[in-house]
Amino acid sequence: MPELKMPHDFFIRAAIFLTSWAICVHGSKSVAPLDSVGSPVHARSDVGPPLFGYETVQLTPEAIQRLHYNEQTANFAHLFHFEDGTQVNPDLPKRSGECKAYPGDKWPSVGAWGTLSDQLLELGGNLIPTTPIAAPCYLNWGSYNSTKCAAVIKGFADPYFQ
Amino acid sequence: MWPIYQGKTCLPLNSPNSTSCTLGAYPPFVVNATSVAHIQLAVNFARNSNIRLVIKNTGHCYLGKSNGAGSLSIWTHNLKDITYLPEYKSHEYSGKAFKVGAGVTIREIYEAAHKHEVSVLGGICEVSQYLST
Repeated sequence: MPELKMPHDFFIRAAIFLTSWAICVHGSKSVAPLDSVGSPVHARSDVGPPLFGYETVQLTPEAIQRLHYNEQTANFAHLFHFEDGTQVNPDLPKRSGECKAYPGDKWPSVGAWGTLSDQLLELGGNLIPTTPIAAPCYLNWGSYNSTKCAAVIKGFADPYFQ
Repeated sequence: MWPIYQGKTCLPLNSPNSTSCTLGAYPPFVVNATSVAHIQLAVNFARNSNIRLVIKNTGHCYLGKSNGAGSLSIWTHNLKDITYLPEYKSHEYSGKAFKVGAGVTIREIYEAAHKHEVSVLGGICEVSQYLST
């Protein structure tokens, strides 16, 4: 552990970490997309069974609107609007009956995916980029590993294999 | 069923140079949903970006609907809540009922039913989801 013998380096790292953390906390406060109390869904619980805890955490159009006021999210805020009959993105084809966008086509930008990921993280969720389970068996994916590949081959037919 | 719907790409074969690993019908991104708010974000994003949206719990869909090339996937696997309602009432039914999260498997609802000494009707594959997603 040679790094522990260099307190100067350690303190710089700690300072960077704490600064990043402070920015994150500040960012989440300025967006504050949550609106869990008094949202319309509570009215429905009068006639149905009680809500699960995770059902009480709901977004409202007003909460989404706050994304427009944040510098980092403003460019992508329109992608999170609720359906209200208007077309929010004129670059995209009309939705009904037309082809969906695919990677390499009018696929969402890296910034758009990053904003989705950030908003999910702020709400305690996460966005997972897919890696095929057998990726370690192939050179082109960039994570070739013969041991991991052998484990995937061995476990592939087991329903509990992950 | 799923390797066929996925396109049989990136199968586990120890021949690294022979073919390449691609996503096939795997969704490029998956939302690990643990609240309604996560699902709202995903649905709105998919609709407003004009991309496909698919829903997956355990992926036991024989029509391959839990896969989708170029889609955003909502993964409901972790929505595990089960509430037993001994006196549920609706217009069509009054009596014992369960309220079940979209990530509950058949085994889990069977265990809940056993605990409350009631019966539920599920499929034979106990690792698959109880609700049809």
